[in-house]
Formats: sequence, C-alpha cells, structure tokens
Amino acid sequence: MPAIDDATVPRARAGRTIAAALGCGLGLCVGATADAADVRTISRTFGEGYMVRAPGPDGTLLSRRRLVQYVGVGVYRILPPKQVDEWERREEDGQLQIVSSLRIRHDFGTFTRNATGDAARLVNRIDGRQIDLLYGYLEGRNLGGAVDLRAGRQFEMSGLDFYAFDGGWIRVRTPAHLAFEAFGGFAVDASDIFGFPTFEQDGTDDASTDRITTPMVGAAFAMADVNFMDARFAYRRAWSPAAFGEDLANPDGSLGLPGAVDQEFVTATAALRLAKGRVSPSFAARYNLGTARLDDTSAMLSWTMTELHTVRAQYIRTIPSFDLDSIFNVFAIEPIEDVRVVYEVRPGPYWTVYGRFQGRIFRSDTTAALGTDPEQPTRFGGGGAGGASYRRRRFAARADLFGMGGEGGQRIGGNVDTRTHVVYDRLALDGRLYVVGYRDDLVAARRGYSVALQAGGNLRLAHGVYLNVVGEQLFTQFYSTAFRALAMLSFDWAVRGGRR
Amino acid sequence: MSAAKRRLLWLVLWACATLGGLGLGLQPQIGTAGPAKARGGLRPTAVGRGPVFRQGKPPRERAEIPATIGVANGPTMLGSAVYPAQDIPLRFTHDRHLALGLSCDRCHGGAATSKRSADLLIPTGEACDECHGQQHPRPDDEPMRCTLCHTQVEDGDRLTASVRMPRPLLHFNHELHTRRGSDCKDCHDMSHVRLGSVLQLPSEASCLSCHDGFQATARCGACHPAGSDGRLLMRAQDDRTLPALIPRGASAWGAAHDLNFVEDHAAISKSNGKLCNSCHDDAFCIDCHDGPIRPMRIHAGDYLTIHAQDARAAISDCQSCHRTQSFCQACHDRVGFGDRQDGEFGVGGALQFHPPDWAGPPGMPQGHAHAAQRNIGTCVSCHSEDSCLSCHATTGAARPGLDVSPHGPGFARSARCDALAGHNRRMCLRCHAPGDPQLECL
Repeated sequence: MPAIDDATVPRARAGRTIAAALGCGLGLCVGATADAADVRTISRTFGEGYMVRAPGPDGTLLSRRRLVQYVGVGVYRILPPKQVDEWERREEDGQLQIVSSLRIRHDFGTFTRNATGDAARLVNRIDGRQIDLLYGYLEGRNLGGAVDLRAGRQFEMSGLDFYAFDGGWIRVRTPAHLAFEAFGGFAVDASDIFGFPTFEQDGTDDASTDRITTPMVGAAFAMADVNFMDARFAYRRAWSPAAFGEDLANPDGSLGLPGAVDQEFVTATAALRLAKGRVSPSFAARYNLGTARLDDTSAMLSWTMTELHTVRAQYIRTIPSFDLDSIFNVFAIEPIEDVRVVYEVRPGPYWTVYGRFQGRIFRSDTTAALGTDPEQPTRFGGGGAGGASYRRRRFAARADLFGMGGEGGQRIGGNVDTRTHVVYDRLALDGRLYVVGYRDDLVAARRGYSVALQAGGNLRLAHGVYLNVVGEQLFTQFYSTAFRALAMLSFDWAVRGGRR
Repeated sequence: MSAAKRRLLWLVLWACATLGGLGLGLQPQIGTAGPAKARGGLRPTAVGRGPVFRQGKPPRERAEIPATIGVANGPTMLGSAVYPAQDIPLRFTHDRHLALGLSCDRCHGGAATSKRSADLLIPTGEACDECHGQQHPRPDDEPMRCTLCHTQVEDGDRLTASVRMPRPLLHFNHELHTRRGSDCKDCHDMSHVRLGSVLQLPSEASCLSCHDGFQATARCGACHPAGSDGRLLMRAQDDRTLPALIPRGASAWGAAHDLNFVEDHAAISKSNGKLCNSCHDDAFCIDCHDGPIRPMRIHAGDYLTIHAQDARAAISDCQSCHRTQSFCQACHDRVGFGDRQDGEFGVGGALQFHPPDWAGPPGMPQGHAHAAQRNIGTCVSCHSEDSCLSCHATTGAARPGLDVSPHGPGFARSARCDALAGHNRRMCLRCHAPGDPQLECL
C-alpha cells in the first residue's frame, strides 16, 4: 500500500473540526447575551499507577502510569423567563443549553516494543493520542412546545448503537403521541485530533477506507408521553461518497476509492409497563441491512412480585458486526446467545440477597473450504452467582460468590466489599477482598489463583471537591507481591451569571 | 521485609479498613428515639408487637452499598433522596394524640393550604402550648416542662438539639390534593405510629396508586424536580454527597438498580434509552464506556491474567467498554502478543497462545475456523485483517492469499452475499480480484 501522509486527509475533515468549534463558539456567544445562565465547570483528574508482568519467559515488568483529565463546561438556562415575575423559565416554555466535555489523557507507561507494520501509525495515534472532544453541542428543549434539537459534536449511545457525529439532530413531537426525529452529519473518526474513541477500526491497518470522510443520516419515529409504553423505530445510514475518496488509494495502489455504504441499520425498541408497573417487558432489535441479519436482539422481562421480591430474565443474541468495509463481517457467521435470570429478595431490614443464573450458547458450522464439521456444533457456557448486601446506618457490606464454566474455561471465586462512614459522613473507608481461581480450557498451563486486598478512602474535601483513593495488594502464583494505586480528584462547581 | 510479613501486614491493614470500621458503622444513632431505630423494609409497630414487614415505605437511613466503580464523588450522606435525613429530638406520640380525637389540622393547620413541599407544616411550640400549658415562652410562674417533649435538654431548660427537617426533594401541592378530595390518611399512614418521622410521609407506591397515568399524571417530572439540564434532579442542591434518587419497585420500568444492575443494564438501555437519559447525562455513560472509571468488582484482582477467558466467553460484554481494534490490539501488539514476527507469540515464536494445529493447514482439523465462526470478536483483539488475508484472499487479489474461502455454507446466491456486495464492494475487493465472478455472488 502506498504511504499516505497527513496532507492527503480530505479537507472536509479539518473543516468539520472547525465547523464544530465555530458551532460551540456561536453557542457561547448566544449564552453571553442571555439575561441569566447557569455556568457549570467540571474538572476531574484520574491517576493510576501499577506494574504488570508481560507475557513470556523473562517476565518483564511493565509500568502503568495513566493520567486522565476531564474538563467540562456547560451553560444552562440560556433563555430568560417569559414572565418578569418568574425566577426561572418554566420547562414548558422551552430552553437552550450548551454542554461540552474535553478529555486529555496520557499513558506514561512502558511496553516491551513499539507498534509495527501497517498498524503502527494508527495505534500510536489513537493510543498515545491525548485529546478527545467527547461532546460539545447546543441543545434546545421543548422549543415552541414541540421541538427538541442538538447541534454540534454529539454521540448516540443506546446500546444498539454507539457512535459520534458532528451535525444536527431534531425531534418534533405531535399531539398524537408520536415524535419524529431526523439527524445527520459526519461520523467522527477516533484517529482525528479531537476525535471520539468509540470508532471501531476495520483491522487497524490504517487503511484508506478508514480515513475517508463519512456522512451519516438517519430518521426515527417514536411514541411520546405514553404512560404505559415506549417504542422507537429508527433508520441510520453512513456512507463514504466517491467524491471524498478521490485522493485516497485502493489496496491495489490506484487512486480514487469507489463510493460505498459503511453502516446501514434499522432498529426497533419497545418497553412496556404493565400491571401498574409490576411487570415490565422490553424488546430491542437491530437489523443490519449491510449484512442482511438481525445482529443484535434482546428481550427482557422484569417482574416486581412485591416490594421485597423481584425477578428479571434477559435473553441477548448478538452477531459481531463491523463497518461494512471490514472483511470480519464475512467471518462472523454464528450468533452468541446469552440468557440471564436474577432473583432478588430483601429478607430483612438490613439484608438484600440475590441468586443469579447465566448461560451462554456458542455455535459453529461446517467450514466452506474443507467441509470440516465442528467437534461440538453447540457449546455451552455459564454458571451462577449468589450474594448479599448488608446495610446499617454507617456501615455497608456486600459479598458475592460465583462460578462460571464452559467456553473460555472455569472460574470460581468470591468477593467482599465494605464501606464505613466516619467523620460525620465526610469520609468513607473502603475495604475489598477478591479471590478467584481459574483454569483455561484451551491451554492446561493457564491456571492459577489471585487474591487481592484493597483499602481506600472517599473524602469530601469541600463542597464539590472529592478525593477517592484506592490501594490494592495482589497475591498470585506469578507475583510474590504487587501493589497498585488509583486516585481520583474531582472538582464540580457551578456559578450563576447574568442580570437576574 | 519477607513476603509472608508483607502479606500479614496487608491483611491487618485491610481488616482495619473494613472489619474495624464495622464497630464505627454499627454505633447506634444518637438522638433518635423509639421506633426510629427500625430500618429498611421494616416499619415500627406499636410497642410490644415486634416488627412486621410493610410494603411501600420510604427507605430508612442506611449507608450506601460499596461502590463497584471508582466513584467521582464523595461519600454519600445518609437518608433518602426524596426525604433527607431528619433529626427530631422530641418525645411525642401521634397515636396518643389521635386517640384523644384530635384532628390533623389542629396541629398541622397550614397543611390544607400549602402549595409547596418546602412549607414547614409541623406545629410550633406555641401550638403545643394550647394544651400543654404556656412554655414558649415560659412565664416566670410556670414550672419548666421542657423534658416533657424535648429529649436533648441540659440543666433543665437548655435545649442542645432542635428539630432539623430539611425540605423534601419533591414537587407537592397539599392544597391541590385536598381540593380534589384527598384526606390526610390517604397519603399519611398514621396507624401504629408514635414519633413523627419520614415513615409517615407518603411512599412512591402510594402516590402511584393515583398517579397511574389515568387518574393523575404518571410523568416522573410531575413530582421529582428537574435540574437545569432538564434531567431529573438525582440529588438535592446538586450535591453529589447527598443520597441519589434510585429507581426501584413498580415505578422503575424494569430498571430497578439492584445488586446485579451493573452487569445487566445493557439490555435495559437498549430497549428504553430514554428512561436512562431522564436521569443520566452524557458524561455518566462514557465515564465507564471507554472511560477511566474502573469497575472494581468486575475487573477484580489479577484480571489482566484472567481477562482472556472473559474475552472468549463474553466478548460482547468486553466490547461495551473496550474497542477490540484499538484498546485490545494496541496493547497486545506492544507486549508481544499477536502474529508479528518479533513477538514471542508470533508465527515461529517461542510461545504459543493457541494450541497446536490451531492454524489448521489444509488437511488438518480447522481449529481456528470454528472459533472464528462463533466469536470473531476475540480474534480481532490480536489479529488484523492482514492475518486473515494471507490465507483467505484469492490468488489474484491485491494481496494474494491461498484461496481458502471463509464463507459459510450456502453463502453464494444468498441474501447476505447480495447485501454485503451491494453495500460495500470495497470489502469484497480485499480478497477477490476485480472481475472475479464470485463478486457477483455466483
């Protein structure tokens, strides 16, 4: 493949970043002229450090020193109240706000070698790359009593879909309890500066198809303000037009990528609230038009028998899917099925007890090339767990025991988590114990145990300033001793500005 | 220090942080009296009857369950998210007053016209004086009777604690409810009750008996206040150390945040994402999903050594937070895993991650083929497309392979083939040469 330098990146991508920045700037200007606004700034700093043992006979120790900094700015209640005697605008009168979050991260740790080959540049850029604009958009709520909208960098995370885009989204609610949505923009690439880390690469080979600008459009209609049911039907399509690929190389070296569809989905979801909320069935499915398969289906039933007894059953069926550029879609043939049942009861004032069953089903088929039949067409995995929590006024504990087997191997273990409040609830002391024994089902030598003891504290330093510290000592057959620490310092402050 | 001593030292430290704290945590609450000591699902009963289970009562003050993640807030204070912790250092019996035939409005006179939940509706000392004699203020010729009602009194007349009753985190209009015919006892269950406490305040279950969407609105925001961003205000005053509003019971739409909610919330969010968004903002989700917050209980102990098992058994769970082609492969590639030539685990390397014959040369059982069919997600955490192309591409492709077809049985002429080729021919051209009739699904 011919080397492609940064200069060949389509101009549209840089333009999108500028457009997103301008959109946020415009929104901030709108906020500056408002009569009143809540301005909220959030700063959170995460740090962690520990050592890990690299695989291999020499057992090289690698350091992990990670630092992550979040900076968030939000401007809320931009529109003033409609009536002069109102302190704040009523929700039904509509409102505007701007939210944004920027993440800066760095891993000061070590590896045994650098990334190599076609993946090197991409791996180095996305793993060591340090700035993510997670979101930054202007949002309108209930404008004109019927319209919600967002403009700027935003992301969708519904479980069925997880992607970020620079663009707009609008929803119009009708009196007939139906809402119509339309959205569009440009999909965000994780390897961009100010990218978003959810983008799934197709093979991590830095292919030109991953670098092409990808427009995205979608539409949906949903039930709105119905008390016993929520349902949504949505369509989304992302594609890479040939016009954006004129400067990019094909695998054979020729210039000019042909246009193609990268993602095309139809999703349907429904959730009901029956028998005065005691029975809540729900359903979600995604049909991938690019692979012509239902690649994500789930159904759930939650039954609140009484205030003390609840049962939840879930069935989840997924087929791994990738952007339609990826050949991995061809290899992913069989679904993974997952069944979960949880029963929880509160037998006493301090106690909550649960039991859990989880089963997984894996399937294999005859291979096309040699017609080889699998030894086991259907493989099962799964196990169970049980646990309890105990809560008093200043002390709470949770204990779990679990055992899993089947595909992947066997694992059995347990944990105890405790928290004790002291110093007038300003400080909480945490203690945790984790024990696990495991055995891999592929390689007999991969078996062992680990015991981890954790101690930590959660301290409220001042209003909106919190410190969370955890230290862990680990014992395994590989480590005679191993210590790791995690700390989190959080500032969350809000100010109110404006004339009112 | 020897390893044994280090282990012993850690065990002692851990025990201090956990079991040692038990003594502190189990200390009785100072200043509460009588039945307020009952907790959780139990409600106090008349003296001598012992506790009985009672449904639908607001939760009592209890410490939070230990976090499974590194939380970005302080220790959560006690109390309920709707009714913050109260302190009522009084000796008072509702049942005795009610037995005398007193009506509610005799003491709670402002309740019938109150329009806000923040209104203070408990009787003042002057109201008590109507029956108990003048004490607020006390005339000189009147004997001191402070301890008749107050429990925190020193030197006969010096109160060391007063009633503390923070306003509830709730929209509520008493006047509206009484105007529509509601009686006090419809919401406030005063049977078997002595001291006034949050136990007499209405529970969500009793609210929902009318707020069912037909008799009255079932919209969450009708009662639960919203924050400046329009989402339900989970904590009063936006203080993250105050108790959070947690869905439970019949109003939760199946999203009750129980002990297994962290593991099982995916299916719930898929089917009703709007429900999640009514409380949680964007930052909440991506703190964990591709964020730095570690689920301690899920990734417990030496998880790094064990994680391969989870990758094979539950790759879809892994992928909800970790991108296999960036997060997983970026690390595997740089610690020697994967198929690169200079890695110990690579082709011809000294170590093998897979069992012998995994690659399945022609004529051998194709071990890896079936694994890829059932769980390609695990494969791509180490292997890139190039690993597959070296064998599976056709001989005339841009990167020639061994012409080993990876397609399952019946792929040609299938709707799946048409869909893949019709949407993105670029993928097909990775393995097939232009002009290959198989590109037309023949």
